[in-house]
This record gives sequence, structure tokens and C-alpha cells, in this order.
Amino acid sequence: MAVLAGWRWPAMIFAAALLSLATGLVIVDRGGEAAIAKQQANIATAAKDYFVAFAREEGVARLARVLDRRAQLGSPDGFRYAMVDRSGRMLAGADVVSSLDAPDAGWRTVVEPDTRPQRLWRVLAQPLDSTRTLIVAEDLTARDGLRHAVLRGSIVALIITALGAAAGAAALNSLLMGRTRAIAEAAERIAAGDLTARVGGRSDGDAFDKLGLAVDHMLARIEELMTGMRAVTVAVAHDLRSPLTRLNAALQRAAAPEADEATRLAALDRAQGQLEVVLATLNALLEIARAESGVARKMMRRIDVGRLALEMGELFGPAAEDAGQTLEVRVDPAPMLAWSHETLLRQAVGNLLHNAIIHAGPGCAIRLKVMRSDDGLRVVVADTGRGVAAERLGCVPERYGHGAPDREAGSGLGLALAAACAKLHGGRLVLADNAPGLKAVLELSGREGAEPPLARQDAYA
Amino acid sequence: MGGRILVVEDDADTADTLVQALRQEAYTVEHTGDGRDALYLASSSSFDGIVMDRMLPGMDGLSVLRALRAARIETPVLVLSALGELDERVAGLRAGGDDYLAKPFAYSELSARLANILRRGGSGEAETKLACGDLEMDLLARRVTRAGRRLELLPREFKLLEHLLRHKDRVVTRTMLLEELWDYRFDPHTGLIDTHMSRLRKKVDDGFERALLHTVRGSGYRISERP
Repeated sequence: MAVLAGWRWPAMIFAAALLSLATGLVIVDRGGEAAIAKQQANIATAAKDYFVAFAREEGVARLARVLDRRAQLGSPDGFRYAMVDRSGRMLAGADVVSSLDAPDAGWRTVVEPDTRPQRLWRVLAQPLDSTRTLIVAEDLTARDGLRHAVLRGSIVALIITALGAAAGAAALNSLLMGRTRAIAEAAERIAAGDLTARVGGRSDGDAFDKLGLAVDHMLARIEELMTGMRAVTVAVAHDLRSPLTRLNAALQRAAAPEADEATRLAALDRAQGQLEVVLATLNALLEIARAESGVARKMMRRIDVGRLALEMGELFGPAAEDAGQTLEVRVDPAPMLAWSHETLLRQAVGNLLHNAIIHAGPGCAIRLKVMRSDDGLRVVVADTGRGVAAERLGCVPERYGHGAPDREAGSGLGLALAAACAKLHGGRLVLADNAPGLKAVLELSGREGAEPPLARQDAYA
Repeated sequence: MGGRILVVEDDADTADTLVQALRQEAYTVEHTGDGRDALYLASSSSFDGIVMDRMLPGMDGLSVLRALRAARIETPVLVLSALGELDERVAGLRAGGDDYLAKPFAYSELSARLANILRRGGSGEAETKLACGDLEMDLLARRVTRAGRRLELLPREFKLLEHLLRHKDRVVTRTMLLEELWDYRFDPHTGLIDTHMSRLRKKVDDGFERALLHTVRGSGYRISERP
């Protein structure tokens, strides 16, 4: 069924091409006929003029002898010449002319009597004197024979061409079907719910290989987003469950009839704290979603990242001191400009500093640096703390919950926000070994509109 | 405090809570839940301040705000909106809002911010000296003294104290400080401002009989001679 359907269009196109070729052939044939007719009429007129001049110079009797000799030589070009009297009787020239119903003067097309199939003649009559007339007759059947031979040859050539084209089209069609089958099959498997289906293709291959690879790239991204979405749902549920449970417990304690005023106030305080954790979690999730959807792009402008780093260092300095650490900011005195979403970048840098302060442990040094790279800037937060396990190093997945490194104390969310921020800025968030300690590198591409937005609409709007 | 406030909020529960709490603070409060009514009320009678939700039936809050500003009605407006959209804040301020607060919010936060924008309308002249009791700040010389004694402050501490002094006798919340001094939207860990404040407090209040920096339970900080 699919094969038949696949054939319908090529067949129709093929038929249309044949039809137009045939039409063209008819037009050429008609045009050729007209051109030949004109040519032949010119030849007949020229011969007539020549013979008339000859008769005038040499006499009609000599012309008669010339015409007889001409008739004896035969007529390879299809023209016959004769001289008749008033009643149409042959005086000289080709015999066949006597049977034709020639006009007194001028052109006429006549049928030769008693011939099967009909034989047509084109006759030109020119009176030479009061009794004798010169007749030039052209055998149209011979002319048509030539034309038909040309036409037959053309039709045969056309049929051979058509068959060749059909064979070529069939071969091309089956090739196309073969090459697109992999794509169709992958699409059907995706539709059936198997997100791991891929088309495949060689990177140095033809257009179909390239198409296959492009489709695979798209499918990989879709799968990543879908799995990411599932993971997010689970992670959000997990992150909200604990504070909500504690909130519930605190409210129950506050509502207990035996609770005194102080217990009640303390319980309400605790409830409020848990509520703030819930709100902060939701807030971070919404920010990540906005950063990832690309709608935040319209808020981007050129800012001095060096100044931003100095201010963040100032904000987090006392917190680091309280944790028994030192926080040092190193930036160029000259402005370090980048195309940036300032609020989000501040949040991302803040999250990295917070993670370092919480996880590095007392006694270590935290360093915040802004460095120029080949195509933009790098914001680096390095500590000399205990670091993380080797398998957690590398590029941080931009999706929250998608194997986010550290779920305790909500730092998974913080890193996810920083990663989403890096992506919005056309870069990545990379965790590296600081030997000892951890180094988080947030890459900012300085280019405007570095990464095209994947989704235009804001799912949370 | 006092003053006439227009509350534009279509959610009845939120509006009730808000109106009652504002009345307890001795504000005169009018309320409407419709954007068009809000525009009419705000342009036909004079208010000292407006608390405006962004999502309203009839006409959305930002359109009302733009219409008011286009008509040269400069009543201070505190814009309220759904949770956690950094960019929405900028949009709200661009439309002519004076401050922006995301829902859900603590009433103390709203109260502090409202008081802040109501006061803002008044003083336009650049001050060169700020003071609270025996604490004096010279903005030009960047010098702080208390009872005539020089206090050595770090730039970040100077910045913080200046902000508190400019809002003397009023509550300044932690998020207000984060936003206005460091352009930092939310601190999920909430300890940052407290770490700054304890350092500042050591320098400003330690060794003096009367404390000027006060922690306001559940909302923020206040600098004042009154306890």
C-alpha cells in the first residue's frame, strides 16, 4: 500500500512529462510542414520562372524538348515538369501530369485518380502562349513520406528516452525510500514511546546521513528535556516534601491545646522558616525555568562583570569570615564587559560562593576571579576545601535534578541555577579539581544573543 | 504614620488582610478589585500611596500604572505580583512603580516598603550629613563619629549604615537591604545581612550605653534613638 502510494506521484509527473513531449512533437511537426511547404513552393516558382524565361528566349518548341529530356532523367526531388495544351493533353514532359486536373493558371492541390492510397499533388500552372501551358507538379506523398520518417524516428527516440527516464525514476525512488525508511522507522518508534530511537548516519556521508544526524541531535535534546522534566518533578517533590513536613509538624505543635505561649511562638517561628525554604525553592525553580526557556534574554545588556564580582565578594565576605574562611576577589581594574543578565548572574555567583562557604570547611581560602577567555569571560570560584568526588567533576548538567551533584542543603538547586545562567550566557558551568579543593568555572560568552532560545514560549508565564 | 492608601487587589482574602493590617497602622484605606475603578479612583482623588496587584480584572496593574504616570499622577506605587520573576520586577519599575514585591509576602515586608516609598516623595535635596542621636555621618568626608569618637568602618559597613540612617526610625527589611545595596534578589540562606549587621553593631553600639541598631523581630532592622 505504502509502495503504491509512493508510486502515485512519480507516475503522474512522468505522464505529464510524456504528454508535454508529445505536444511539443506535434507542434514541431506542424511547424516543419509549414516551412517545407514554403520552401517547395519557392522551388516550384523558381523552376516555373526559369522555364518561362527559357521559352521566351529559345522558343516553346525547344522548351518542349528540354522538358522531355528532363522527364527521361527521372525525378529524385519529387518535382515533375510538363507542357499541356488547352484541353489538358500532354505535349511534352512527365506523363503522370496528364492525369492530373490542373488549373488554367496558378496553384491547386489535386488527387491523382485511381491511386490507393491516395496520392496528392501540388500543381502550379503557367500559360506560355494562347494554346500551351507549363505545369510544375510536386508529389506531396513523397514529401509526407519524408516528414513521416522524421516523425517516426522522433517518436521512437522519445519512447526510448521515456523508458530510460522511468527506469531512472524508479531506481531513484527506491533509493529515496530506502534512505528515508530509517528516519520513518525512528519517528514511529518515538511516537510509540521509545525515546531512545535514533536514525544513525555517517558524519562524512551524503545529505541523508546529515539529515539523519540532525534528527538524532534533535531527538537527543528532546529525550534530555523529557527525562529532565521527569527528574525535575521527582526532585521538586523531594525538595518540598521535607520542609512541608516540618512546617506541618510545627503548626501542629503550635495548635496543640497544652502548648504554652513561648512554645507556640517558637513553633510559629519554625513554621515561618520552613515556609521561606519552600518559597526560596519555588523561586529558584522559576528562575531556572525562565533562564532555560530563553525569555530572560530580553533583559540582557552589557555590564561590568568585574564590578559585579567585587560587590558579590563584599556581600559574602562576612559570611566566609564567620565560617572561618578567607574570601579574596581578584579582578582587573579595567572594566570587564560582558553581555549579561545581571540579576541572574549575581544570583549564580552568589550561589557558587554560598556553596563554597558551606562545603569547603573552616580554615580554607576561597578565591573569586574574573578572567578573560578566548571568546568572553570566566567567573571562577575556587576553594581549598575538601573538594568533591572525581565523578562529580566536569560539566554540570543544566537541568536541575538531572544528576545534580549535591542535593543536601539545596546546593543542587544553586548549581542548577548557575548552570542555567551559564547556558543563557552561551557558556557552561564546569567543576574542576583545584588540587586541593573545588573550582567552579562559569563561562560567559561575550557575544550578544550567543545561544538561540530553544523554546519561545514561557511555560510558566 | 497615617496617610491615605489605595489598595488595588482582586483577591478578597488578601485584600481583607491587607486593609485590616494597614488600618491598624493608622492608615486610611480604600480598596477596589478592578483595574478601571483603580484608575478612576487614583486620578479623581488624592492618595498618599497605592498598593497595586499586577493581575487585575478589567485592566491589568501595569496598564493602570502607565496610564497614571502618563496623566502625571505621581502617587507612589508599590506593585505586587506572582512569585519569583526577576524580570517582572524590572518591568514593574519601568512602568513607573516605586517598589516591587513578589507574592507571597510577609505583611511586615510590605509595611516597611510602603513606609519607605511614602517618605521618598518628600526630600529631594542632597544631604551631606546624616545623624541619629550622638551618631553622625559626614557623607562628603566619609567619616562616622559617635559621641565625638571616630568609628573606623569598612566601605561595606559605611554603605549599610548610610542606608539605615536614610531610613531612620523606620524598619528596613533584609530583602530591602539585599536588593538596594547589592542588587541581590533573594538569599535562600537568609544569613547574609545578619553577618553584616553583627559587625556593624559591634562598631556602632559596643561600648556605648544606649543601642541605636535594633533588630525588629520577624522583619528586619531599624536605627533609632528609641528602643
